[in-house]
Amino acid sequence: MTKYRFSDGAALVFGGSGGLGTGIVNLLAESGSNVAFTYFKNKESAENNLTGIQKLGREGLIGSVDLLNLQAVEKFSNEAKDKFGKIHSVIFATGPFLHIMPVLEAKPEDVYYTLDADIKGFYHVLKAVVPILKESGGGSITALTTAAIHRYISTDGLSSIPKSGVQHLCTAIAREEGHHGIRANCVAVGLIAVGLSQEIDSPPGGILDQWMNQVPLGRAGSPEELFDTVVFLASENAGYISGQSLPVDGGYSA
Amino acid sequence: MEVIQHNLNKMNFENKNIIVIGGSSGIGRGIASSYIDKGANVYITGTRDKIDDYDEEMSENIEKCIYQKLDLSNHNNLQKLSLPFDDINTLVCSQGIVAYDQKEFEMDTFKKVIDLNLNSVMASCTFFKQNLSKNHGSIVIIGSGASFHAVKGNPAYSASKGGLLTLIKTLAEAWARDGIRVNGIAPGYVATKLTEVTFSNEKRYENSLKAIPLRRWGSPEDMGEVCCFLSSEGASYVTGQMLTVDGGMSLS
Repeated sequence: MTKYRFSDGAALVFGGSGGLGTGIVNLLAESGSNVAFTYFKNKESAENNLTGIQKLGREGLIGSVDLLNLQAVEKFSNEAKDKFGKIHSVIFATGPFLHIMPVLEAKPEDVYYTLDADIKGFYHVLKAVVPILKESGGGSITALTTAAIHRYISTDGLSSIPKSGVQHLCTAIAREEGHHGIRANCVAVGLIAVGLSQEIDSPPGGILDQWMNQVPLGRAGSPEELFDTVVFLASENAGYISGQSLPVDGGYSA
Repeated sequence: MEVIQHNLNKMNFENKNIIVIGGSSGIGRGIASSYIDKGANVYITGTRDKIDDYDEEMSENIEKCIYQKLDLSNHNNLQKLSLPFDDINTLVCSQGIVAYDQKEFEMDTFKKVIDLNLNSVMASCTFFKQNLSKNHGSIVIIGSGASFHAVKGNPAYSASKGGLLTLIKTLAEAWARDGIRVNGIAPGYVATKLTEVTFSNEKRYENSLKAIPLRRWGSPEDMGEVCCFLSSEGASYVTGQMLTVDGGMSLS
Protein backbone atom coordinates (compact mmCIF):
# COMPACT_ATOMS: atom_id res chain seq x y z
CA MET A 1 0.00 0.00 0.00
CA THR A 2 1.07 3.54 -0.61
CA LYS A 3 1.05 5.67 2.49
CA TYR A 4 -0.76 8.84 1.54
CA ARG A 5 -3.30 9.60 4.25
CA PHE A 6 -6.85 10.79 3.65
CA SER A 7 -9.74 11.35 6.00
CA ASP A 8 -13.20 9.85 5.45
CA GLY A 9 -15.27 10.90 2.48
CA ALA A 10 -14.12 11.11 -1.09
CA ALA A 11 -11.83 12.85 -3.50
CA LEU A 12 -13.41 14.78 -6.36
CA VAL A 13 -11.43 14.73 -9.62
CA PHE A 14 -12.33 17.00 -12.53
CA GLY A 15 -11.05 15.29 -15.65
CA GLY A 16 -10.80 11.68 -14.50
CA SER A 17 -10.96 9.93 -17.85
CA GLY A 18 -7.86 11.25 -19.61
CA GLY A 19 -4.36 9.80 -19.64
CA LEU A 20 -3.34 11.58 -16.47
CA GLY A 21 -6.70 11.80 -14.71
CA THR A 22 -7.21 8.04 -14.91
CA GLY A 23 -3.96 7.32 -13.10
CA ILE A 24 -4.68 9.93 -10.43
CA VAL A 25 -8.12 8.42 -9.76
CA ASN A 26 -6.51 5.01 -9.44
CA LEU A 27 -3.77 6.08 -7.03
CA LEU A 28 -6.37 7.84 -4.88
CA ALA A 29 -8.33 4.60 -4.73
CA GLU A 30 -5.17 2.63 -3.94
CA SER A 31 -4.53 5.09 -1.11
CA GLY A 32 -7.88 4.15 0.40
CA SER A 33 -10.09 6.95 -0.86
CA ASN A 34 -13.45 6.85 -2.60
CA VAL A 35 -13.41 8.93 -5.77
CA ALA A 36 -16.01 10.95 -7.66
CA PHE A 37 -14.79 12.06 -11.07
CA THR A 38 -15.95 13.81 -14.18
CA TYR A 39 -15.43 13.22 -17.87
CA PHE A 40 -16.34 15.37 -20.81
CA LYS A 41 -16.96 13.04 -23.74
CA ASN A 42 -14.98 9.89 -23.05
CA LYS A 43 -17.68 7.88 -21.28
CA GLU A 44 -16.17 4.48 -22.01
CA SER A 45 -12.83 5.41 -20.44
CA ALA A 46 -14.63 6.87 -17.40
CA GLU A 47 -16.69 3.70 -16.93
CA ASN A 48 -13.61 1.49 -17.19
CA ASN A 49 -11.90 3.64 -14.62
CA LEU A 50 -14.92 3.37 -12.31
CA THR A 51 -14.84 -0.43 -12.60
CA GLY A 52 -11.13 -0.28 -11.80
CA ILE A 53 -11.54 1.53 -8.52
CA GLN A 54 -14.50 -0.68 -7.54
CA LYS A 55 -12.19 -3.68 -7.96
CA LEU A 56 -9.90 -2.01 -5.40
CA GLY A 57 -12.83 -2.04 -2.98
CA ARG A 58 -13.61 1.69 -3.24
CA GLU A 59 -16.76 3.44 -4.27
CA GLY A 60 -16.97 5.85 -7.14
CA LEU A 61 -19.29 8.27 -8.89
CA ILE A 62 -18.97 9.50 -12.45
CA GLY A 63 -20.65 12.26 -14.38
CA SER A 64 -20.23 14.04 -17.67
CA VAL A 65 -19.67 17.67 -16.76
CA ASP A 66 -18.96 20.67 -18.97
CA LEU A 67 -16.79 22.88 -16.77
CA LEU A 68 -17.93 25.97 -18.65
CA ASN A 69 -21.37 25.39 -17.16
CA LEU A 70 -21.25 26.53 -13.52
CA GLN A 71 -24.61 24.94 -12.63
CA ALA A 72 -23.43 21.57 -13.97
CA VAL A 73 -20.20 21.78 -11.94
CA GLU A 74 -22.16 22.67 -8.79
CA LYS A 75 -24.68 19.90 -9.39
CA PHE A 76 -22.02 17.18 -9.71
CA SER A 77 -20.03 18.50 -6.73
CA ASN A 78 -23.14 18.41 -4.55
CA GLU A 79 -24.05 14.93 -5.76
CA ALA A 80 -20.58 13.77 -4.73
CA LYS A 81 -20.90 15.39 -1.31
CA ASP A 82 -24.35 13.85 -0.79
CA LYS A 83 -23.18 10.38 -1.81
CA PHE A 84 -19.98 10.31 0.25
CA GLY A 85 -20.89 12.69 3.09
CA LYS A 86 -17.69 14.70 2.72
CA ILE A 87 -15.16 15.77 0.11
CA HIS A 88 -11.58 15.86 1.44
CA SER A 89 -9.70 16.63 -1.78
CA VAL A 90 -10.45 18.25 -5.11
CA ILE A 91 -8.19 17.72 -8.13
CA PHE A 92 -8.31 19.70 -11.37
CA ALA A 93 -6.81 17.54 -14.10
CA THR A 94 -8.49 18.71 -17.28
CA GLY A 95 -6.61 20.28 -20.15
CA PRO A 96 -7.82 21.58 -23.47
CA PHE A 97 -6.25 20.42 -26.72
CA LEU A 98 -2.91 22.13 -27.12
CA HIS A 99 -2.05 24.37 -30.03
CA ILE A 100 1.70 24.61 -30.40
CA MET A 101 2.57 27.89 -32.05
CA PRO A 102 3.72 31.41 -31.29
CA VAL A 103 0.91 32.98 -29.35
CA LEU A 104 0.22 35.76 -31.85
CA GLU A 105 -0.06 33.27 -34.71
CA ALA A 106 -2.88 31.35 -33.02
CA LYS A 107 -6.46 31.95 -34.11
CA PRO A 108 -8.21 34.30 -31.68
CA GLU A 109 -10.98 31.73 -31.12
CA ASP A 110 -8.39 29.12 -30.10
CA VAL A 111 -6.85 31.55 -27.62
CA TYR A 112 -10.27 32.41 -26.19
CA TYR A 113 -11.16 28.73 -25.93
CA THR A 114 -8.04 27.73 -23.96
CA LEU A 115 -8.41 30.75 -21.67
CA ASP A 116 -12.02 29.79 -21.02
CA ALA A 117 -11.42 26.08 -20.59
CA ASP A 118 -8.68 26.61 -18.03
CA ILE A 119 -9.46 29.81 -16.19
CA LYS A 120 -13.25 29.87 -16.37
CA GLY A 121 -13.36 26.09 -15.90
CA PHE A 122 -11.19 26.17 -12.79
CA TYR A 123 -13.00 29.23 -11.46
CA HIS A 124 -16.28 27.29 -11.73
CA VAL A 125 -14.71 24.38 -9.88
CA LEU A 126 -13.62 26.71 -7.06
CA LYS A 127 -17.04 28.37 -6.88
CA ALA A 128 -18.63 24.96 -6.53
CA VAL A 129 -16.24 23.17 -4.18
CA VAL A 130 -14.94 25.81 -1.76
CA PRO A 131 -18.33 26.11 0.04
CA ILE A 132 -18.46 22.31 0.29
CA LEU A 133 -14.92 22.10 1.72
CA LYS A 134 -15.63 24.95 4.16
CA GLU A 135 -18.69 23.18 5.45
CA SER A 136 -16.67 20.15 6.55
CA GLY A 137 -13.78 22.10 8.06
CA GLY A 138 -11.42 22.24 5.10
CA GLY A 139 -9.67 20.08 2.55
CA SER A 140 -7.25 20.31 -0.32
CA ILE A 141 -7.40 21.61 -3.88
CA THR A 142 -4.71 20.49 -6.32
CA ALA A 143 -4.50 21.72 -9.90
CA LEU A 144 -2.38 20.37 -12.75
CA THR A 145 -0.59 23.14 -14.61
CA THR A 146 2.59 23.19 -16.69
CA ALA A 147 6.29 23.58 -15.93
CA ALA A 148 6.29 26.21 -18.69
CA ILE A 149 4.87 28.60 -16.08
CA HIS A 150 8.20 28.46 -14.25
CA ARG A 151 10.34 28.54 -17.40
CA TYR A 152 8.75 29.48 -20.69
CA ILE A 153 8.78 27.00 -23.55
CA SER A 154 8.72 28.72 -26.90
CA THR A 155 5.44 28.10 -28.81
CA ASP A 156 3.75 26.69 -25.69
CA GLY A 157 2.04 29.92 -24.67
CA LEU A 158 -1.47 28.65 -25.27
CA SER A 159 -0.83 26.18 -22.47
CA SER A 160 1.22 28.23 -20.02
CA ILE A 161 -0.71 31.51 -20.24
CA PRO A 162 -4.09 30.14 -19.14
CA LYS A 163 -2.42 27.79 -16.62
CA SER A 164 -0.75 30.82 -15.02
CA GLY A 165 -4.27 32.03 -14.31
CA VAL A 166 -5.07 28.67 -12.75
CA GLN A 167 -1.99 28.95 -10.55
CA HIS A 168 -2.93 32.40 -9.34
CA LEU A 169 -6.47 31.27 -8.60
CA CYS A 170 -4.84 28.68 -6.34
CA THR A 171 -2.76 31.38 -4.67
CA ALA A 172 -5.90 33.43 -4.05
CA ILE A 173 -7.75 30.49 -2.49
CA ALA A 174 -4.73 29.50 -0.37
CA ARG A 175 -4.44 33.04 0.96
CA GLU A 176 -8.10 33.95 1.28
CA GLU A 177 -9.70 30.66 2.33
CA GLY A 178 -6.79 29.13 4.25
CA HIS A 179 -8.31 30.00 7.61
CA HIS A 180 -11.14 27.59 6.75
CA GLY A 181 -8.56 24.82 6.59
CA ILE A 182 -8.45 24.87 2.81
CA ARG A 183 -5.13 24.27 1.09
CA ALA A 184 -4.57 24.93 -2.64
CA ASN A 185 -1.52 23.86 -4.64
CA CYS A 186 -0.39 23.21 -8.20
CA VAL A 187 1.63 20.48 -9.83
CA ALA A 188 3.54 21.99 -12.74
CA VAL A 189 3.72 19.13 -15.20
CA GLY A 190 6.85 18.72 -17.28
CA LEU A 191 7.50 16.37 -20.15
CA ILE A 192 5.49 13.29 -19.23
CA ALA A 193 5.18 10.45 -21.72
CA VAL A 194 1.41 10.10 -21.93
CA GLY A 195 -1.81 12.04 -22.25
CA LEU A 196 -1.38 15.60 -23.38
CA SER A 197 2.28 15.23 -24.34
CA GLN A 198 1.34 12.42 -26.70
CA GLU A 199 -1.13 14.65 -28.49
CA ILE A 200 1.51 17.21 -29.32
CA ASP A 201 2.57 16.84 -32.93
CA SER A 202 6.30 17.48 -32.80
CA PRO A 203 8.71 16.81 -35.67
CA PRO A 204 12.37 15.89 -34.99
CA GLY A 205 14.03 19.02 -33.63
CA GLY A 206 10.58 20.34 -32.68
CA ILE A 207 9.22 21.38 -29.32
CA LEU A 208 9.53 17.96 -27.66
CA ASP A 209 13.15 17.50 -28.67
CA GLN A 210 14.05 21.03 -27.61
CA TRP A 211 12.33 20.46 -24.32
CA MET A 212 14.01 17.11 -23.71
CA ASN A 213 17.43 18.64 -24.30
CA GLN A 214 16.84 20.93 -21.34
CA VAL A 215 15.79 18.25 -18.87
CA PRO A 216 18.70 17.55 -16.49
CA LEU A 217 17.45 14.01 -15.80
CA GLY A 218 17.73 13.45 -19.56
CA ARG A 219 14.46 11.62 -20.06
CA ALA A 220 10.73 12.16 -20.11
CA GLY A 221 8.86 11.28 -16.95
CA SER A 222 6.51 8.32 -16.76
CA PRO A 223 2.90 9.02 -15.81
CA GLU A 224 3.42 7.17 -12.51
CA GLU A 225 6.06 9.73 -11.60
CA LEU A 226 3.41 12.42 -11.79
CA PHE A 227 0.55 10.72 -9.94
CA ASP A 228 2.43 10.44 -6.66
CA THR A 229 3.14 14.16 -6.46
CA VAL A 230 -0.50 14.99 -7.16
CA VAL A 231 -1.84 12.56 -4.60
CA PHE A 232 0.84 13.52 -2.05
CA LEU A 233 -0.05 17.22 -2.28
CA ALA A 234 -3.74 16.37 -1.97
CA SER A 235 -3.16 14.14 1.06
CA GLU A 236 -2.82 14.94 4.75
CA ASN A 237 0.88 14.13 4.47
CA ALA A 238 1.22 17.56 2.83
CA GLY A 239 -0.99 19.23 5.44
CA TYR A 240 1.25 22.30 5.87
CA ILE A 241 1.84 22.98 2.16
CA SER A 242 -0.41 25.65 0.70
CA GLY A 243 -0.20 28.11 -2.17
CA GLN A 244 2.71 26.28 -3.80
CA SER A 245 3.49 25.07 -7.29
CA LEU A 246 5.71 21.98 -7.43
CA PRO A 247 7.22 21.18 -10.83
CA VAL A 248 7.48 17.51 -11.77
CA ASP A 249 9.77 18.11 -14.69
CA GLY A 250 13.09 16.32 -14.25
CA GLY A 251 14.71 19.63 -13.30
CA TYR A 252 13.67 21.53 -16.47
CA SER A 253 12.49 24.64 -14.65
CA ALA A 254 15.31 24.65 -12.10
CA MET B 1 10.88 7.90 -25.25
CA GLU B 2 12.52 6.06 -22.39
CA VAL B 3 10.12 5.51 -19.55
CA ILE B 4 11.03 4.10 -16.16
CA GLN B 5 8.53 1.79 -14.50
CA HIS B 6 8.04 1.77 -10.77
CA ASN B 7 6.38 -0.46 -8.26
CA LEU B 8 3.98 0.56 -5.51
CA ASN B 9 5.00 1.19 -1.95
CA LYS B 10 6.83 4.41 -2.62
CA MET B 11 6.65 5.87 0.88
CA ASN B 12 8.10 2.72 2.38
CA PHE B 13 11.75 3.16 3.38
CA GLU B 14 12.55 -0.32 4.65
CA ASN B 15 16.19 -1.18 3.96
CA LYS B 16 16.90 2.44 3.02
CA ASN B 17 19.80 4.20 4.70
CA ILE B 18 19.29 7.84 5.58
CA ILE B 19 21.70 10.38 7.03
CA VAL B 20 20.28 13.48 8.67
CA ILE B 21 22.94 16.07 9.44
CA GLY B 22 21.61 18.17 12.28
CA GLY B 23 19.12 15.40 13.02
CA SER B 24 19.80 15.77 16.73
CA SER B 25 17.32 18.58 17.24
CA GLY B 26 14.56 20.73 15.78
CA ILE B 27 13.39 20.12 12.23
CA GLY B 28 16.12 17.56 11.58
CA ARG B 29 14.95 15.53 14.55
CA GLY B 30 11.37 15.54 13.22
CA ILE B 31 12.62 14.43 9.84
CA ALA B 32 14.66 11.61 11.35
CA SER B 33 11.59 10.48 13.26
CA SER B 34 9.45 10.41 10.11
CA TYR B 35 11.99 8.19 8.33
CA ILE B 36 12.00 5.79 11.29
CA ASP B 37 8.18 5.67 11.09
CA LYS B 38 8.52 4.58 7.48
CA GLY B 39 10.97 1.81 8.24
CA ALA B 40 14.34 3.40 7.35
CA ASN B 41 17.72 2.99 9.00
CA VAL B 42 18.54 6.49 10.18
CA TYR B 43 21.85 7.99 11.13
CA ILE B 44 21.80 11.42 12.78
CA THR B 45 24.50 13.89 13.71
CA GLY B 46 24.72 16.82 16.08
CA THR B 47 27.39 18.94 17.68
CA ARG B 48 27.11 17.54 21.21
CA ASP B 49 28.82 14.41 22.51
CA LYS B 50 25.70 12.32 23.02
CA ILE B 51 22.07 12.48 21.88
CA ASP B 52 21.09 12.62 25.57
CA ASP B 53 22.86 15.96 25.81
CA TYR B 54 19.97 17.60 23.93
CA ASP B 55 17.20 18.90 26.14
CA GLU B 56 14.48 17.80 23.70
CA GLU B 57 12.20 14.99 24.75
CA MET B 58 13.50 11.53 23.92
CA SER B 59 11.20 9.47 21.73
CA GLU B 60 11.12 5.83 20.77
CA ASN B 61 11.91 6.85 17.20
CA ILE B 62 14.96 8.92 18.09
CA GLU B 63 16.25 6.05 20.24
CA LYS B 64 16.24 3.93 17.08
CA CYS B 65 18.54 6.40 15.28
CA ILE B 66 22.28 6.00 15.38
CA TYR B 67 23.86 9.18 16.71
CA GLN B 68 27.32 10.52 16.03
CA LYS B 69 28.89 13.81 16.95
CA LEU B 70 29.74 15.99 13.95
CA ASP B 71 30.84 19.59 14.39
CA LEU B 72 30.83 21.20 10.95
CA SER B 73 32.50 24.40 12.09
CA ASN B 74 35.43 22.34 10.79
CA HIS B 75 34.44 20.61 7.52
CA ASN B 76 37.30 18.11 7.91
CA ASN B 77 35.31 16.48 10.68
CA LEU B 78 33.29 14.77 7.93
CA GLN B 79 36.31 12.51 7.34
CA LYS B 80 36.09 11.26 10.92
CA LEU B 81 32.55 9.88 10.60
CA SER B 82 32.37 6.13 10.86
CA LEU B 83 29.36 5.12 8.83
CA PRO B 84 27.40 2.07 9.87
CA PHE B 85 26.08 1.60 6.31
CA ASP B 86 27.86 0.53 3.15
CA ASP B 87 25.76 2.84 1.09
CA ILE B 88 23.37 5.72 1.47
CA ASN B 89 20.01 6.39 -0.16
CA THR B 90 19.34 9.89 1.11
CA LEU B 91 21.32 12.72 2.66
CA VAL B 92 19.34 15.36 4.54
CA CYS B 93 21.21 18.58 5.36
CA SER B 94 19.45 20.17 8.29
CA GLN B 95 22.30 21.99 9.96
CA GLY B 96 21.86 25.67 10.68
CA ILE B 97 22.61 28.54 13.02
CA VAL B 98 21.36 32.08 13.41
CA ALA B 99 22.64 35.08 15.38
CA TYR B 100 20.39 37.75 16.87
CA ASP B 101 20.84 41.30 18.22
CA GLN B 102 22.32 42.66 14.95
CA LYS B 103 25.38 40.40 15.37
CA GLU B 104 25.05 39.17 11.78
CA PHE B 105 25.99 42.67 10.63
CA GLU B 106 29.47 42.04 12.10
CA MET B 107 31.78 40.31 9.62
CA ASP B 108 33.05 37.62 12.00
CA THR B 109 29.54 36.45 12.77
CA PHE B 110 28.44 36.85 9.14
CA LYS B 111 31.24 34.55 7.99
CA LYS B 112 30.56 32.01 10.71
CA VAL B 113 26.87 31.74 9.81
CA ILE B 114 27.56 31.50 6.06
CA ASP B 115 30.24 28.89 6.69
CA LEU B 116 27.89 26.63 8.62
CA ASN B 117 24.57 27.23 6.82
CA LEU B 118 25.90 27.26 3.26
CA ASN B 119 29.51 26.07 2.99
CA SER B 120 29.12 23.07 5.26
CA VAL B 121 26.09 21.95 3.23
CA MET B 122 28.19 21.99 0.06
CA ALA B 123 30.96 20.14 1.93
CA SER B 124 28.48 17.49 3.11
CA CYS B 125 26.91 17.00 -0.32
CA THR B 126 30.34 16.67 -1.94
CA PHE B 127 31.53 14.27 0.75
CA PHE B 128 28.59 11.88 0.22
CA LYS B 129 28.16 12.35 -3.53
CA GLN B 130 29.96 9.24 -4.72
CA ASN B 131 28.16 7.07 -2.22
CA LEU B 132 24.76 8.52 -3.17
CA SER B 133 25.37 8.01 -6.89
CA LYS B 134 25.62 4.24 -6.35
CA ASN B 135 21.91 4.03 -5.48
CA HIS B 136 20.21 6.75 -7.51
CA GLY B 137 20.17 8.55 -4.19
CA SER B 138 18.78 11.91 -3.32
CA ILE B 139 19.61 14.95 -1.25
CA VAL B 140 17.15 17.13 0.66
CA ILE B 141 18.47 20.47 1.92
CA ILE B 142 16.58 22.47 4.52
CA GLY B 143 16.21 26.06 3.37
CA SER B 144 13.89 28.67 4.81
CA GLY B 145 11.44 31.39 3.94
CA ALA B 146 14.70 33.35 3.97
CA SER B 147 15.66 31.45 0.78
CA PHE B 148 13.17 33.70 -1.03
CA HIS B 149 12.93 36.94 0.93
CA ALA B 150 14.68 39.04 3.53
CA VAL B 151 14.55 38.28 7.23
CA LYS B 152 14.82 41.49 9.21
CA GLY B 153 18.07 41.81 11.09
CA ASN B 154 19.59 38.58 9.75
CA PRO B 155 21.73 39.28 6.68
CA ALA B 156 23.90 36.18 7.09
CA TYR B 157 21.03 33.79 7.72
CA SER B 158 19.11 35.20 4.73
CA ALA B 159 22.11 35.16 2.39
CA SER B 160 23.03 31.62 3.40
CA LYS B 161 19.49 30.31 2.87
CA GLY B 162 19.20 32.24 -0.39
CA GLY B 163 22.46 30.62 -1.44
CA LEU B 164 21.02 27.19 -0.74
CA LEU B 165 18.20 27.86 -3.24
CA THR B 166 20.56 28.17 -6.17
CA LEU B 167 22.93 25.55 -4.76
CA ILE B 168 20.04 23.07 -4.97
CA LYS B 169 19.30 24.00 -8.58
CA THR B 170 22.95 23.89 -9.59
CA LEU B 171 23.70 20.56 -7.92
CA ALA B 172 20.45 19.10 -9.33
CA GLU B 173 21.60 19.97 -12.84
CA ALA B 174 25.21 18.88 -12.31
CA TRP B 175 24.50 15.58 -10.57
CA ALA B 176 21.45 14.46 -12.55
CA ARG B 177 23.84 12.48 -14.76
CA ASP B 178 25.06 10.68 -11.65
CA GLY B 179 21.48 9.73 -10.86
CA ILE B 180 21.26 12.02 -7.83
CA ARG B 181 18.21 14.20 -7.28
CA VAL B 182 18.63 17.35 -5.18
CA ASN B 183 15.67 19.15 -3.61
CA GLY B 184 14.93 21.33 -0.64
CA ILE B 185 12.28 22.36 1.83
CA ALA B 186 11.66 25.93 2.87
CA PRO B 187 9.88 25.62 6.23
CA GLY B 188 7.75 28.38 7.68
CA TYR B 189 7.38 28.69 11.44
CA VAL B 190 8.25 25.49 13.28
CA ALA B 191 8.73 25.51 17.02
CA THR B 192 12.46 24.83 17.50
CA LYS B 193 15.23 26.48 19.44
CA LEU B 194 15.88 28.73 16.42
CA THR B 195 12.36 30.21 16.62
CA GLU B 196 12.07 30.26 20.41
CA VAL B 197 12.36 34.06 20.36
CA THR B 198 8.99 34.17 18.56
CA PHE B 199 6.92 31.35 19.98
CA SER B 200 7.91 31.86 23.63
CA ASN B 201 6.48 35.41 23.51
CA GLU B 202 2.68 35.22 23.61
CA LYS B 203 2.06 38.45 21.75
CA ARG B 204 4.57 37.65 19.02
CA TYR B 205 3.12 34.17 18.72
CA GLU B 206 -0.47 35.47 18.34
CA ASN B 207 0.69 37.96 15.72
CA SER B 208 2.52 35.26 13.80
CA LEU B 209 -0.66 33.19 13.59
CA LYS B 210 -2.52 36.04 11.90
CA ALA B 211 -0.01 35.96 9.07
CA ILE B 212 -0.43 32.22 8.44
CA PRO B 213 -3.49 31.38 6.29
CA LEU B 214 -3.76 27.89 7.87
CA ARG B 215 -3.64 29.57 11.33
CA ARG B 216 -1.16 27.19 12.90
CA TRP B 217 2.59 26.71 13.18
CA GLY B 218 4.15 23.77 11.38
CA SER B 219 5.43 20.76 13.26
CA PRO B 220 8.74 18.97 12.73
CA GLU B 221 6.58 16.04 11.52
CA ASP B 222 5.00 18.24 8.82
CA MET B 223 8.52 18.79 7.51
CA GLY B 224 9.36 15.12 7.94
CA GLU B 225 6.50 13.99 5.72
CA VAL B 226 7.55 16.37 2.94
CA CYS B 227 11.20 15.38 3.26
CA CYS B 228 10.28 11.68 3.02
CA PHE B 229 8.18 12.36 -0.07
CA LEU B 230 10.87 14.34 -1.87
CA SER B 231 13.42 11.58 -1.27
CA SER B 232 10.98 8.80 -2.17
CA GLU B 233 10.50 7.04 -5.48
CA GLY B 234 7.22 8.90 -5.77
CA ALA B 235 9.26 12.03 -6.47
CA SER B 236 11.65 10.36 -8.93
CA TYR B 237 11.00 13.05 -11.57
CA VAL B 238 11.26 15.96 -9.12
CA THR B 239 14.66 17.62 -8.90
CA GLY B 240 16.06 21.12 -8.39
CA GLN B 241 13.07 22.28 -6.36
CA MET B 242 12.85 24.13 -3.07
CA LEU B 243 9.34 23.43 -1.80
CA THR B 244 7.89 25.96 0.63
CA VAL B 245 6.07 24.34 3.56
CA ASP B 246 4.71 27.26 5.51
CA GLY B 247 0.92 27.03 5.73
CA GLY B 248 0.69 29.76 3.10
CA MET B 249 2.51 32.37 5.20
CA SER B 250 4.71 33.71 2.40
CA LEU B 251 1.83 34.30 -0.03
CA SER B 252 1.32 37.87 1.08
